[in-house]
Amino acid sequence: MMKIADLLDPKGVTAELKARTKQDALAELTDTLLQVNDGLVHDDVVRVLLERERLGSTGIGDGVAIPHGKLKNLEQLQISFGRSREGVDFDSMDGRPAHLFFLLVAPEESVGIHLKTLARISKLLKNGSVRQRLLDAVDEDEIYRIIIQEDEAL
Amino acid sequence: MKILIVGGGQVGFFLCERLSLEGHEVALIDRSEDQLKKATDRLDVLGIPGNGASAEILEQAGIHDADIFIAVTDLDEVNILACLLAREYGVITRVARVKNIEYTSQGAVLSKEKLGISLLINHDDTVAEEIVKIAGRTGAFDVAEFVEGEVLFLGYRITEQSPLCDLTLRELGEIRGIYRFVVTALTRKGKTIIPRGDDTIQAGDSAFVVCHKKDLPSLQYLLQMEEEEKRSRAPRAFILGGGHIGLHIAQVMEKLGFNLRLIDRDQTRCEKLAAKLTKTLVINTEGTDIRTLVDEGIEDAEFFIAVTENDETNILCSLLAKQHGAKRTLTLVNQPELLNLAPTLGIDAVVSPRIAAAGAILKYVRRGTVISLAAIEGSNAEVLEVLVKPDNEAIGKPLKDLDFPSGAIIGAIVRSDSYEIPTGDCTLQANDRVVVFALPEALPKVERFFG
Repeated sequence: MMKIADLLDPKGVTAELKARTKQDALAELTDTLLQVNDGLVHDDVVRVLLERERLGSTGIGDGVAIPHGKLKNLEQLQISFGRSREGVDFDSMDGRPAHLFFLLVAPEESVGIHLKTLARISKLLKNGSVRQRLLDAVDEDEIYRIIIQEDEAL
Repeated sequence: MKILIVGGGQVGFFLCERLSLEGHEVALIDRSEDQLKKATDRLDVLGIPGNGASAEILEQAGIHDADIFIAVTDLDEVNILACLLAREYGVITRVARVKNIEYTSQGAVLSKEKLGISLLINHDDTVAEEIVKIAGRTGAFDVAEFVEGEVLFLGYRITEQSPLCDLTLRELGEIRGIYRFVVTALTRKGKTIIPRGDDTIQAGDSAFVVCHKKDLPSLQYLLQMEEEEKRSRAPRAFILGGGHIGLHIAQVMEKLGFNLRLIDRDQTRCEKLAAKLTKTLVINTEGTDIRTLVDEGIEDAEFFIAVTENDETNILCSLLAKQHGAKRTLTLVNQPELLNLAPTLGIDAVVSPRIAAAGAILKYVRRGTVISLAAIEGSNAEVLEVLVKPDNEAIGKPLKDLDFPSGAIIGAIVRSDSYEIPTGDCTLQANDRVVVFALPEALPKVERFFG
C-alpha cells in the first residue's frame, strides 16, 4: 500500500493559501505542486482539475476538498497539500467553506492507484481530531509532520 | 398471493421459480407431464396436467381464489382464451404473452382492453426495448432505471485495467464523499454476492452499481468512460437480423440519432425493411460477410447488435464483429444454456427474451409497494424499488442499527427533493423511495421489512 509519505514532499505543502475562490485555490495548489515537480505545465494541471470540478465538486464537506485530475505523459501520482485559514467557497456538499486541500494529479493509465490514495486521504481527513490538528498547526513543517504521523497510524 | 400460471416453458418455469421463492402459492398448468415434472420436482409449485384454456382444468387448479393469472404458453390463442376464462372467474390481474404483433401494434383490431387482459406482453417488443436501453448508455452492460429514471442500476465488467480492480469495498466507501455510488453486487464465476468491507473487486467480476443520474458524469469519469456528449455526433451501429426485433430497434435508434446499418440475409425482407426505415442503410448479406462489414465501417462502430432467430449466429457474428473492431456487442440469446456462456466469450451484453419477458411480467405482477423491477442476467437476484410506509418501524433509526435482511442491500434513497447514497448513519423517512438489491432468498424478507 502506497503511503502518503511516499507521495507527499515536504515542499509540496502550503500553510497559508491566499486564494478566496475555487479557481484561484486550484491555481495556488498547482503552484505548490510545481515546487516539487517543475516538469508539469501549470495551465494543463489547472485545466484537468477544472474539468473534473465541472462534473461535481470534490469538496466533500467538513472543510475538506480533494481536487484531482488525470494527465497524459505523467510518470507517477503527484500530490500537494494546502491550508486556508479563511476558507474557500468550493461548492462543497455541506455548503461550508473548505480549509484543507489535497491535490492529486494521476497518470491517465493508473487510475486504480489514484483511487486507493484518494480513499486513504479521504479516510485520514474523516477524523475530526486530525482535521483540528491540521488547522491548528503553526507552519508547513508541522502540517507535514502531522500528515505523516497520522497516515502512519491509519 | 395465489398465482396460476399456464405454460411451463422457459418463461413459465422462470416465473414459477421466482414467484414460489418469493413465498407465493403457485400452481402451474401444462399439457406436458414432463414439463410439469421439471417444475414440481425442483420447485415448490402445484402441477396440474391439462389444457389451460379449459374451465375444468382451471377449476382444478383453484382459479376461484386465484389473485393473479399468467398465461405464457407458446400459443397466443390459448393464452388469450385462458385469460378470457380467468376474467369470467373474477381473477383481477390477468397477464398474457403474445408473439403475434397484431395484438399489440398500433391500430390493431384487437387490443388488450377488448381482450380483457391487464397486461399483454410481447416478447419481441420487450427484448427490443431492453436492447435500446443498454445501447443508450455507454460502458454499462445492464441498465435499469428506478424512481422515474432518477436512480440507475448499472453493470460493469471488471478487467485488470479497470480503475475499480483490486479496490476493497471499504476503500470505495471512503471515496463516497466524492464518488457517490454503491457496488451492490459482484458476480464472480456465476455466483452473485453482496460484497462487504473487506471484499475486493477482482478482474473478471461483473460489478453492479447503483447511482443517482446526477452523479453519473463523475462515475463515468472515474471509470474512464466516454461521456455521451463527447461521442461522435452520430455513433455508428450495426444491427444483424431484420425481424420484428431488429426493425423495432432500428426504428427507436434512428430517433436516438444513431447512424445505422441493418443487415439481413433475406432479400425480400430487406426490401420491406428499406421501405419502413428512413435513415437506416439496409444491407442484404450474411452476418459473416466480413468484407462488407469492414467496408461499412465495423471498425470503431459503437455497437454491433445481433438479433437473428439463431443464437449461434448471433454469438458467432458478435465475436467476429468484435474481432474486427466493433466497440461493443449486444447479443440476443434464447437458449438458457448459452446465456451464461456468451459473456465469458467476450460478448458485452446478452439479452434473453425469456428474462426480458419474465422481468416485465414480474414487474407488473408485483405492483404495489414494489414499484418497478429489473431481473439480472444470469442470476436470480433482483433490484426493486420500494416505498417506506409511514408506519414502518425502521423510520428514524440509523441503517447500521436496523435488522436489515442479509442478502439484500440498499443502493439509494430518494425523497421528494433530495437523495442519499446510504451509509450506516443514514435513516429512512416516511414515503422515501428506496432502491434495494436482493438475492432471491432475501426477497420475502425484504418485502416483510417494508411491509
